Amino acid sequence: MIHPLYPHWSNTVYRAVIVAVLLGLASLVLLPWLYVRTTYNTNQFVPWDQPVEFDHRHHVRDDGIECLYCHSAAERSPSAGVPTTEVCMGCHSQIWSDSPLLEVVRRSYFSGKPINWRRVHDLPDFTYFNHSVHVARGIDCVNCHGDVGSMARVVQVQPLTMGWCVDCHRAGTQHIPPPNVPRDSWEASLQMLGDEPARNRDVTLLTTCTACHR
Amino acid sequence: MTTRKHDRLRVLSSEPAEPEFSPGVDEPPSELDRREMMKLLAAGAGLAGVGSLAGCMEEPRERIMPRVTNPPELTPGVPLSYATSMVIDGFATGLLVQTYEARPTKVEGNPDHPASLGHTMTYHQASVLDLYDPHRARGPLEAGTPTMLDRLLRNIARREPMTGLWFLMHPQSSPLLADLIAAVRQRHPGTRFAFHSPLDRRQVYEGARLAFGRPLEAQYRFTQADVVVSLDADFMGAMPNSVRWAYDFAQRRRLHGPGGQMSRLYLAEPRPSPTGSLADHRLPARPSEIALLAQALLSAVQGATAPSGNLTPRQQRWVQAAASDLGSRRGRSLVIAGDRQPAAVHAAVHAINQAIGAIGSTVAFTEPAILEPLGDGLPELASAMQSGQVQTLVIVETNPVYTAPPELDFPALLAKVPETLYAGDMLDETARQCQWFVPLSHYMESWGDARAYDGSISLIQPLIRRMYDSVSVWELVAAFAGDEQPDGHRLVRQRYADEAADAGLLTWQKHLQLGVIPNTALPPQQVSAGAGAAPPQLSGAGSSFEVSFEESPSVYDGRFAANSWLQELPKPHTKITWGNAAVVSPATARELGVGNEDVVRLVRGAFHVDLPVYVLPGHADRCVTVELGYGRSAGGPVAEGVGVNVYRIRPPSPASHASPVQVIATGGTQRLAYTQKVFDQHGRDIARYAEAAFYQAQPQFTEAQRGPLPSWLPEFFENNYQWGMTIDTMICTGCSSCVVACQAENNIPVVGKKGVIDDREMHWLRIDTYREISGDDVEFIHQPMLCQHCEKAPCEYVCPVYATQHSPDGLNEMVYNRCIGTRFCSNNCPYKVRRFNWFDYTEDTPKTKQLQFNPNVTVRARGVMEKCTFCVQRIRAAEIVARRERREIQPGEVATACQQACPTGAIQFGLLHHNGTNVVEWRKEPRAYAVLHDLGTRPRVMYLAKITNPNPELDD
Repeated sequence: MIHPLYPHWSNTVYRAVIVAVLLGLASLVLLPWLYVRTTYNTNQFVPWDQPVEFDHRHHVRDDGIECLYCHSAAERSPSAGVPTTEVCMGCHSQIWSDSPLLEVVRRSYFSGKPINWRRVHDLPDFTYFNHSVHVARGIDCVNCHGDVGSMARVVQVQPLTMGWCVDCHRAGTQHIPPPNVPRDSWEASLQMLGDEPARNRDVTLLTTCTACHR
Repeated sequence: MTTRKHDRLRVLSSEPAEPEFSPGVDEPPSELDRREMMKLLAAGAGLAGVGSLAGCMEEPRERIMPRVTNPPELTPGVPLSYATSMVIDGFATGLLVQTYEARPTKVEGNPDHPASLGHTMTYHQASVLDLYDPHRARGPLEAGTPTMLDRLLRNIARREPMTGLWFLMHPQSSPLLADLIAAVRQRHPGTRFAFHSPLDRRQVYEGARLAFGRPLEAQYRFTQADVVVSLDADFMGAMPNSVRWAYDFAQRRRLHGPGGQMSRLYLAEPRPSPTGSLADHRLPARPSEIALLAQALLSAVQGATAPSGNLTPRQQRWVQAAASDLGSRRGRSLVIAGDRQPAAVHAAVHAINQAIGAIGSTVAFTEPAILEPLGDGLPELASAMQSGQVQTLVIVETNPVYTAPPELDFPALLAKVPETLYAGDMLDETARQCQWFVPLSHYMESWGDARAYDGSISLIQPLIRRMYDSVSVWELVAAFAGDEQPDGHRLVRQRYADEAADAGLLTWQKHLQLGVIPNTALPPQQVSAGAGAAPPQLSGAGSSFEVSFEESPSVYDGRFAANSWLQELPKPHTKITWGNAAVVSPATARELGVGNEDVVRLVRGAFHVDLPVYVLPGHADRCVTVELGYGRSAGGPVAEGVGVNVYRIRPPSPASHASPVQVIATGGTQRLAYTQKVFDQHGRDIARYAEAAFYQAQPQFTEAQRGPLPSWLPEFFENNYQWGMTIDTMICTGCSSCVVACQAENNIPVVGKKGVIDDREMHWLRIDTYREISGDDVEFIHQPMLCQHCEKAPCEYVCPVYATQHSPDGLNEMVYNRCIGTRFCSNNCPYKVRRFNWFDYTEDTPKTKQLQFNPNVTVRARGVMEKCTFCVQRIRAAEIVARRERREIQPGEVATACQQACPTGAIQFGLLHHNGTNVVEWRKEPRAYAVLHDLGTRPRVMYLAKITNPNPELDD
């Protein structure tokens, strides 16, 4: 009787190895593909330390200050801008003028040295986003930045990946809110009005490369 | 089929064996030489190691630092333009400088300024790079040791009246400086100011004095001249008012249709110049022969008998034809002489202009804008130094140790002066031999004023706070006048307090905004040329070699040698970068038995230099042209050791040329870095040209090269919102201002001499020059070549990753972050306009230079393809503004960087449905054509054929 050269279970090992190799190859592609989509990679929901404990909840919700009061460049410039120290001191020279939380702001104002904020929403350097044209077309700040008014520290809510940008640019008419409608009724009113708000605002959806990459 | 292929090969191989590609280009790329890299990019290399380590860790988060208080006019992210002026040898050109958050990034012409009209030269475009040069001097030195600037200025201001105080500086036109000079003379009686530049214009004023009894400046009106005769005058490229004159000349020159009238240009010069490429009758003449031609022309227009027998038959025909054309268009013609020509030639030209009725119609005369045009110069200073009369010498900007003629032995003279102070932007050759050194502010950091060529007072205002411990010229001179804390702003305000007094601050601000004080051009003077202005008889038929000294179109007299954009700029006719050559005609090269890159020795008396030869058809025979400004031994790593210093054989007088000179082939060779090697069209119709008479007879001669061709590629342009460009080659001088403008706008790196030799230059826009040789005549056609934005682009369908594709508005887009560097697109591009980043040219960019980068254009990394984008960042910015304001884009709202810079306005860009704009109307002209039309690429760039207007009587 001739004994087989390999035991019977070696067939199973052989098949398992084949499957493992194939899975390994697939994961070489798949794992990075999944990784770049994780919030870890997109830096979503990270409450970064900031030099000043600035609380948007208080300013937006309690005081009812409009976004554009401080981020006024959003209407004219590619970048929305962070307010100058002078803007902070416009109110805080009168109220909370001796609050210890505002020590950094006062020091900046009187020394002439800028406050060193950490950027939360950071696009790659080869991407040119323009705030002014989006604001002029009625895209609400909330669309991209989330409900900053309920954040203690500002976090990035959306992934800010190209796929996310292009989603809107392909079907953007559903993201333009009708004017004078409270935020919690947007969805309902958009279902009613369809793309009418977008048409009224003469929205052009650009998907050409040089719209963002120059 | 095979036979035909074989035939074609045979035809190609029968042509002169000029290698199309430099040896070694097919070899794998070698790492950029470390030393070369350091030279190009200097500081910051040490950080590379730290950077790579940080790469393993978390990406550093960007910071946002908002201003503490914001000036009302400034919105972060929105650029602002300010008017200022750049002064070269006393003459101001008005500029608008674009700034982002108070850092200058790009220079443009000032449309309100008479010497600019919105256009610029290469030097102006490149000047923003000098501001950020990491090798600029950062503080004053006393015998090589750092010292304090304010203390130094205070000590200067507190000096007791000095004797033997001399200043040496470039020619100046500033009214403020004139006041300060008077103040210095009052405080230190007997102070003398010598004005000197290696490219002096003293002989121009001497010539006017010979003719009119006093120095005057000629103001030419090229818009009214049907016939222009230029005697060695490169008036569209290398004269103080060239930007304006190029525009004016093009206005009268450009044909609007086959029946139109165009001007005629006769030109005699040693080596082909930008102006020479537009000449209808270009006569190669050695510098010494220009005087003979001037004399012959004078006697011909005065109706005298045939000129002297010193002229060759070809020269005689040229003179006769020019004279009869000038005579038949009295009051609508003019003659202009080159600045470097001797005074006698200028006097003769004034007499000719008088004889043909040009004075008062096409030529006017004003007082010179510059101060003391015939005052002290370098010779006076040198003899004073020799006799020991100079106790204190203050040298400002000019670099005599490097530029003075060898006979003077300036370093030895300098050693005799007890006290020397040098003010300049770098520690150059002269600075190293002076006791004191004061850094000079860049013009974008200074307050000041100067006059334009026509006399208009131009204002200089700073765009950025001083980067280093430096002073401006005005402040330095003010210190000598006793001002302990000189402040440029205060000085300028005081000077113009009267002018603005009646209307107050608002008028002053309006003038600052304009960049020029209106109605300050100097008034025309009544003149009449006296008799006896005939030039002395010169023998031009001598057999000895002549060496002609030219300013470099790249580095001028050497003062821009530290500017790597200019160093890498291909020269208009030779396409040489990073160096100079001994340029000779083909006949002379044969006579000497040399070819390109063979080294020759030029010997004048006891002095000699060795230079590689460049053979240029159209050059005068038995004459060698060399460019000044190279071979610097100090002045920053970019400048040092590039090319050969030909000041070492330049005679003191006349400085324009040296004769007799011995030319000896040494047998050695030296590599030249040129960007174009083939100047022949090989029988293909790439750059079209025709004579005006032919164009009139057959207006449709380019018909086969436009219009649709059958194609199986889809038509995908649904709308009529389409961008396009039209380039008229008949007014392109090849000056290359557009090339530098493109480099500044689009963050284009420099690759160094070795990079150019390996054909790795990165310019998105190049100027292809074709030489059409027929007998003695050479026709030069310059064709700016950039991405043609083909409607059916061959690059697009070969890209495996869709990194290049078409936008709905007709742009061929390049997406850097998609590109994986296969280079298929470049391989498939018939126009060869795509550039590949073989190395990371931008990684080690010094911190200061990074400030110049256009924030709206991606800085490309290694391994990606790049090319002209039609300045898409400007298009999109204008579109965003228009969309915000809910309106259409208006004609003229978007201008590309090259279009803005072009002095003659040869490049036009815009939307193809904007009827009535130049870009649309020009491409409807019958001479419009597309390059390589038969390939069916449907380029969006249309060219207009070059039309020349030769004199039918002169058939040579």
